[in-house]
Amino acid sequence: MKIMHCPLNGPRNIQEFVWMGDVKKVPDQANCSDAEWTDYLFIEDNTAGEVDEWWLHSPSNYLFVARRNRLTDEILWTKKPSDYFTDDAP
Amino acid sequence: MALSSIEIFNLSFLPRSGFKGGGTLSAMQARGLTFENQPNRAFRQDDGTLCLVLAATEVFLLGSLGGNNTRLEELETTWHIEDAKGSYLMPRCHTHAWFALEGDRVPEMLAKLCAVDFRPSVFGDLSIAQTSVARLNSIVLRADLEKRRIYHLLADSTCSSYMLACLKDAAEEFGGRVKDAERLLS
Repeated sequence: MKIMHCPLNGPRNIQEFVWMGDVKKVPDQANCSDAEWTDYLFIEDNTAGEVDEWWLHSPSNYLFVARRNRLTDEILWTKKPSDYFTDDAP
Repeated sequence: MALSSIEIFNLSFLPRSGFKGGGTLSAMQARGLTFENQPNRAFRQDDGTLCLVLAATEVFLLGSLGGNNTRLEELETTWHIEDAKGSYLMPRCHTHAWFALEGDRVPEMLAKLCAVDFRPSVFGDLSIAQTSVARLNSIVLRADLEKRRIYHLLADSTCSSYMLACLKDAAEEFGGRVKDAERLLS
């Protein structure tokens, strides 16, 4: 069983989690172009390597950030959003 | 009282409620509930209500087993969105079925349905696990009644028949069966 560490609930079966996409900088909604907004909403970079991602722990509906190596599928760490945006925000 | 077999109780007829939102914990404390900001921990109230702190923004309230539940009713009826406390009513009778399990071998039985370790030495009184049980998102709470070790299970009410069937199936090898809730309330 693959285990992921939820910052709120502790270690849980990976099946309890939902991938929610890359952590991205939100463009200025008032001034960005349609292409920039579309890129933010729908386009993923599909980076081969370490990426910061949003994950959801479904039973508690808790959203957090995980850094994952997409080549090895290794989860390097998980953080509460408040900690992440203090330490590592893009 | 040690129970060698497992007893399953359907407590879905009992009142339950909840509140969610950034101001929930302070709003609930201002309304007289006693608890700490400690996610995944439950707190007994003086009227027998159980206050489950699920996160820093959410509480789930379980009515007293056989007791007076006027306080729970009052918390619901006196809540108004106009009060703007950043706390929103979640009427849990309409969302969650409520089962209770009693018996020494409940942790072994739950191990067939869920990956979390519910052994008493690990999962103490008033511990909460928000996890997947029988592939359904669920909340598991241990709340002892004096010396009786009771595990409560809350899961999507639309799947309550499925969950009950899973519990009965898992409990069968431990001599488990559904019992009248009065046995738990007595």
